[in-house]
Amino acid sequence: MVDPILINKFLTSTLIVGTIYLIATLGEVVAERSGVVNLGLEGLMEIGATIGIIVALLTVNPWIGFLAAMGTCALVACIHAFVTVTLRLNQFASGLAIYILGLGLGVMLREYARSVYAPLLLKIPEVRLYPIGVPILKDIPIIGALFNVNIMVYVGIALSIILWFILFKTRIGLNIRSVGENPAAADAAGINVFRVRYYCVIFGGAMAGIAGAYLMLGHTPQIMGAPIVLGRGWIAIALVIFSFWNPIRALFGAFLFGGLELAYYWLQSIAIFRSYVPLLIAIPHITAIILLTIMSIEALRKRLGAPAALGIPYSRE
Amino acid sequence: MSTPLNETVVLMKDIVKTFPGGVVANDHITFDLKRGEIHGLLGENGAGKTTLVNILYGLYKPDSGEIYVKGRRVKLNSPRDAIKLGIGLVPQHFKLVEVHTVVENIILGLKEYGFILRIREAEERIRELARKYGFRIDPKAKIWQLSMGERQYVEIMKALFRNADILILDEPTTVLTPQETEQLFKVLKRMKEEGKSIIFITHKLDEALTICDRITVLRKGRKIGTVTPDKVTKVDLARMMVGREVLFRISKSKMKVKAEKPILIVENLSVLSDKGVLAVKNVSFSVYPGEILGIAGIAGSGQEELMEAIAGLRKPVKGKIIIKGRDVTYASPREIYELNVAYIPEDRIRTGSLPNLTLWENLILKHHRRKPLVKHKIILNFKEIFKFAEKRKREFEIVAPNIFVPARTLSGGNLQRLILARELTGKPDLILAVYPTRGLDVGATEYVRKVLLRERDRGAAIVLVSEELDEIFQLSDRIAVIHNGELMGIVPTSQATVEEIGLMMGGALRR
Ligand SMILES: Nc1ncnc2c1ncn2[C@@H]1O[C@H](COP(=O)(O)OP(=O)(O)O)[C@@H](O)[C@H]1O
Ligand SMILES: [Mg+2]
Repeated sequence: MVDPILINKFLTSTLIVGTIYLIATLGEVVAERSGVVNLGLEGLMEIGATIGIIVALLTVNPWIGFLAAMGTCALVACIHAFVTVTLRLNQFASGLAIYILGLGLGVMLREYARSVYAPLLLKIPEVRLYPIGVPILKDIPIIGALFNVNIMVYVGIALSIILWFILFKTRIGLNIRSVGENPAAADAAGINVFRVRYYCVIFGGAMAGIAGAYLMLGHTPQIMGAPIVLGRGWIAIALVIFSFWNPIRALFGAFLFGGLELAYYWLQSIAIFRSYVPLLIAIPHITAIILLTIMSIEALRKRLGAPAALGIPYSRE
Repeated sequence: MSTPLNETVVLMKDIVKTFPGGVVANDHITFDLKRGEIHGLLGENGAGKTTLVNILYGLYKPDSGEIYVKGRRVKLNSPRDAIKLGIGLVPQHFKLVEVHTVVENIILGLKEYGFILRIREAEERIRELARKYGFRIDPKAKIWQLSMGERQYVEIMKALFRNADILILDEPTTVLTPQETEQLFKVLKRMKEEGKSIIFITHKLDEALTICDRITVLRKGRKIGTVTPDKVTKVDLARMMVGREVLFRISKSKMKVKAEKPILIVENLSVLSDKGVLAVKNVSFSVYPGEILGIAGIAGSGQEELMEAIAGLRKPVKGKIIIKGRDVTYASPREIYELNVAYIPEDRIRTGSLPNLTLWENLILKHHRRKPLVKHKIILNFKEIFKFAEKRKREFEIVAPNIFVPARTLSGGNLQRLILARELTGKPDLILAVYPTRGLDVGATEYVRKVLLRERDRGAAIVLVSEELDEIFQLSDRIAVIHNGELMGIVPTSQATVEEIGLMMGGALRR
């Protein structure tokens, strides 16, 4: 018999960690629905993490940290939009450049902050997000986990429902999906293809910023001069495929991978599983590699329901 | 309805458009459209018709020239500007989101149906409009499920939903059966009676003469003139369009070779498309030496997949292909062409040639394994190769400075001559020709048709896929009609009528 309290604890952590994946994935779903893939997610999250924690510590307010991370990453995503939409250059190359830029910038700034603002570290307890912990409800077996998480978990879940609604039930969603499927059709119908793609890419960037800041403020607050996102951005890109570009389905993927990430910490403590732990650590990454490989095969991608114009720049002449 | 009839609704003055690469697609073209008329734009492929209307729809920016719509000088920066002025375009290649529904495509970009889309309301209006014009359309259907004719109605509805009173149709009849064309003409006449103005683009003379009130002829980017149908004959129009006299009939001799053994037998063949659905369903036919079997059908009915299967480029899922008595159902393309089979593919640039390689390289492909073009099995014998290439170039009248220029520098007609020159070397017993004249000008078309007839008279068996019924009737000895992947029947040309073939193409008749 496994202790129900332990199960609840595991589920709580799963929700908390899964939300990192969820927010980043949702942003990328929207960007890809408009036809632009952003491989720079990992780098953007790294920047978001740095800006998020530093600003939160300086202002002693996590929410200002989130806003700053969002804004900064939206700006960086503008570069990607400019390069891929306006200059019509290769989306993969631009995304990789953003990844390298973000990784370097994020780590470097964090190292700098550590040397300058070291005393601020004492403020971490004041800015990190704590589980809300609804009394009584949180002690119900299994579903109690839902009532013992921080507020961003709710924000993430709400966002996936809202984004699903926007994509599939509203005018803006129809515009975005049409631009991603057939930009020439959208253009002929009087839609500004460039504007839609810019907004979607910037939105995706902003979400990556939130995801990065949340990784810090909701999960592991620290200022360390080393990468901290550790492949989660790449997994988020794979999760977009896993969820078939659908925000609701992204929920399941994100929490599944959140759970996987945790599983190895937990199983480490159980002797008979210990030797399998490295395998478990590898699972999300292996899955990501498989999904990204699938994505690069055009025929397969089409069959999975990827936006038909994904990765293809649009021009009239 | 405030403006009187006969008022000029569109005036395009001195329009010039040069594409990157230096093609002058529109060279000082002046064009006007009156309220309540159907104005035909007639011209060969590449004459600049699409470019001109794309400028009017705000898709291309002209280098110079003025545009007036309903009396006001306008600048069109995007289709949105054109839509606001009441201009609608039904493009040559439909611009529809295939995985979306009819409604979603029609209301795309419209604000009337709210932020949270009121789909029901839109569907109702679509049904109403469809009833009015006699379209049969299910608003909930996905575009990919529709026939080309139905997709065209969706494009027309898109324009009507945007309250277009100036409607442009770019070569609308190329994807229609003769019956569907007639239906479309009824709709256009009805719109004309309602006071709408229509620009009707075509390269078919008969159509222009039937439906238009005035016809403007373009040739090589220039305007040749504007005429009314009652003042000109078909021959006049053809001369304006092509710039010289045109033969309307190529004489075809009676079938000479009578053989009892077919060269090609196709038995219960089923083939999948790229999307993984059945594109060819249980098709059987045979082709004899000295005959042309024409395969008629609207584009995308499975003809391409069928021909690819015969050429060995696509593996069938069921059935048999027998060439000269040998079962080649699963043979490789090389095994098939070594049976002396020529393949003239649909896509001249991607499948038919190597655009970056030279003329001579393209000409010796397929033959480069044989003596005397190679010595000791592997070493190219340049002396023989150049002689061979020069001879082919001369024989097939390929216009190019020399045999060392890359194939991509050739015009469409010359590229097709190059492909013919290569494929017809060695007197093939079976020729597979897929849309061999598509996109060619009249001169090149005539040439290709004559060459095919010559090969037939020599005794080759030919399978000809074409979407031009004229061509099918002119060249074929028998006509096989394909609809939605199924063979609707095979009719000897002497006993066939256009109406009957049209009905079979639309799936309404089986023989
Ligand atoms: N986007 C483009 N870029 C370069 N050349 C083009 C482009 N579109 C058309 N052209 C060229 O302009 C000429 C006119 O083309 P088009 O207007 O499509 O003719 P039509 O519709 O009468 O067949 C052709 O020579 C064609 O090759
Ligand atoms: Mg055209």
